[in-house]
Amino acid sequence: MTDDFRRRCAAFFAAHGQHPEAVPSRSRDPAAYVAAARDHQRALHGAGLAGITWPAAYGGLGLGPEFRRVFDEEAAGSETFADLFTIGFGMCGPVLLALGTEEQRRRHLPPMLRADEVWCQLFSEPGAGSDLASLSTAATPDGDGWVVTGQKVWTTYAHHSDRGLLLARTDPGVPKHRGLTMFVADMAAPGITVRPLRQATGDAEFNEVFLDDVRLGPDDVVGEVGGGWRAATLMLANERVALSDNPIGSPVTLDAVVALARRHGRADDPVVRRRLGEAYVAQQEVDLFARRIAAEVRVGNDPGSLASVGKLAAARVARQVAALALEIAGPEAVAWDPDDPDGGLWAYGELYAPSLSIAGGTEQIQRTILGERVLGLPREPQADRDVPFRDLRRSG
Amino acid sequence: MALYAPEHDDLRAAVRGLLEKAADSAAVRRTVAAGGFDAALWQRMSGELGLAGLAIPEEHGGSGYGPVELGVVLEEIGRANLPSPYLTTVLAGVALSTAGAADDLLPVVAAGERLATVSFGTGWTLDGDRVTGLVDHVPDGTTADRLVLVGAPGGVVVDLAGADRRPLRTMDLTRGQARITLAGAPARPFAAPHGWAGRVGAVAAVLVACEQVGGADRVLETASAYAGERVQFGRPIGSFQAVKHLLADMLVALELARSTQQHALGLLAAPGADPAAVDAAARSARVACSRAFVQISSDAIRVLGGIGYTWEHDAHLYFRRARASAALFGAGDDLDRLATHAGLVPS
Repeated sequence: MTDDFRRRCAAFFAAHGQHPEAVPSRSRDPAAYVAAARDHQRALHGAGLAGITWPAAYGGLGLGPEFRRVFDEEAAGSETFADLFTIGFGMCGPVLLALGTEEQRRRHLPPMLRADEVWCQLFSEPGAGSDLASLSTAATPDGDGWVVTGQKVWTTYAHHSDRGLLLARTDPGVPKHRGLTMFVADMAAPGITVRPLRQATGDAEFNEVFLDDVRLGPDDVVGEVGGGWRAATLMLANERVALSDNPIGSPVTLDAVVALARRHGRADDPVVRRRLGEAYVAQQEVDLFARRIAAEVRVGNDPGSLASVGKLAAARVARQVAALALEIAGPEAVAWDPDDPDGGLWAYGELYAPSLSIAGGTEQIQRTILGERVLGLPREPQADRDVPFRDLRRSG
Repeated sequence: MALYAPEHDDLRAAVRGLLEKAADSAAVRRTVAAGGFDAALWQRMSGELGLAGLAIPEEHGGSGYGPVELGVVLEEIGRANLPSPYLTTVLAGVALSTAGAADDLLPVVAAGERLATVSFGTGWTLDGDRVTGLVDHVPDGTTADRLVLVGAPGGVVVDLAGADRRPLRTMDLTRGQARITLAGAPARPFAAPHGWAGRVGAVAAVLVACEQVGGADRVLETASAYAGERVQFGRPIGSFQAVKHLLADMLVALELARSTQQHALGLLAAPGADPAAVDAAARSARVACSRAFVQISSDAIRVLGGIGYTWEHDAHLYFRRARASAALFGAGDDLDRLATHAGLVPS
């Protein structure tokens, strides 16, 4: 049943597959990376391979999850540009499928699949990070629509995005979780200003987004007015699954560190061998857990909060492998010839690794999720649970 | 393909049902105090449920299943922290039946009428049908009837009836070990296919991993339940992040370890799997599951506090087994071998 599909996938990757090292560097040439990503997705769409499990009515193929696995198998070894597309395909798309109106799905999903519209997630704010529900960007009713004012931050790829799912406060008079609403925002709308932020690595992948009297229509509400927390929770659950299925990987792979150890003549060094053996087991754990969760999703089970395990472990192994590279490379990891294009890789990986412990919910938040939702431990008493938002004590 | 089918759920439920009734904490402690294992329970496990012969071929009196089914039973034995000759006896059955050896012994092992154990030790020599040497740290070596020595190119079956076996004092109170001195003991050497010793070693590692996952699962349940009930400062202690996050880290260790265990079981059960891949998966599972069980059983004592450190609480029994099972069947060079699997081939 999947044989013909597999042949089509194989033919596509034979013709269009790109080795991850052959695509423009996300770090050094982000504009070229984004252009290559859009071209790749358009080619996939042209070959009839985009949106495998999404309904045909919205531009997808309407196929079962087993086809998705066939695709993944044939895509192995080729660049998937998941860094750019995970927010759209893994998070915004599933939320629109679950909560969007028929009109919203027909309007937004097909251009997402063609990469005509890249999506971002407008959630975090300077004063609302781990405590996302305390956000203060205000959507005030105006005529039949809304006027939005506030600031978002850490918005990955906002500067390359055409649309985003925006979480804003529509009712400050009720407790924080109850006064939120999710909207579709057009990133080109008047009043939206995107300013890239430089990260610790020196790259600029995420942004500050300023919203000044941005007008939204009644058709831009996703789900219910006041139902934004439910929509956000659904989006974050999808994010955890997406991240454990397809972790945003560290640029320093275990294979690269093994090659480094060989180059440095450390193949017989018992300490290096032991550390590499440990990293190998940790990497196996992450890969095999991701495979287990993906298999659950494929047979229709919801792994739910257990997916946080994968996120915690992926961040930990990224730190472990990056640190091992620095140990083996020694002085050359921290000072290199400017003419060596790969000279900075180990330093870059070490600086990149901490981001995986923060993005998509910090490690502390993930542990609380596992403790409360998987192990069933009692919640922390929350002083702000029943207090109207406007009366809360806030920073930022 | 999924590792477990509905029949596996039935098998798990049957074993758990039996052990919850016949091997609760009080029963386990009686067995620990008396030493050895509960012979009546062993008869029910091998007789009523046919567990001893699960992986022995039907033509030799078993039921012809494989490592996945043994793994289900061992997880339950691990949960109960049961003193039982099951692990060593079924491993010996796998060793003999995969070598095509000792056809006469297999039916009585399958029926649970003879107990056997396995050693990967190398301190013995064979002279015709006599074996001489020191075989140390043999699990269940004081209770087994036969010892299978796994070597290359083949193995040896030793009748332990008249053997000089010295019981060791063990950290793990639920599994005995013996130092066996063989001085020209009667032995039956047998030939085995190429790669046999490595295969038996992989099966040993994965079966131990199954027992460890079962034990870790139970300990985490116990610690989580306690954290939800024990009140200090007017709140259940599990509502404090310091305790909640400790338990969450235990869950992370368990679920990662379980993923390596299930993957290794699947590879062991797959016909024609690449032996190098099986070796890598089995060693990864042993490292991951050993560490997870040690971490979880040790941190559980910290969650439980003073009560968990008492002799009367079972927490130390699990911690003891965790530490000891990490060293079963000679697990010393796993990380070095895994570095080779990762691509760092020694020069």
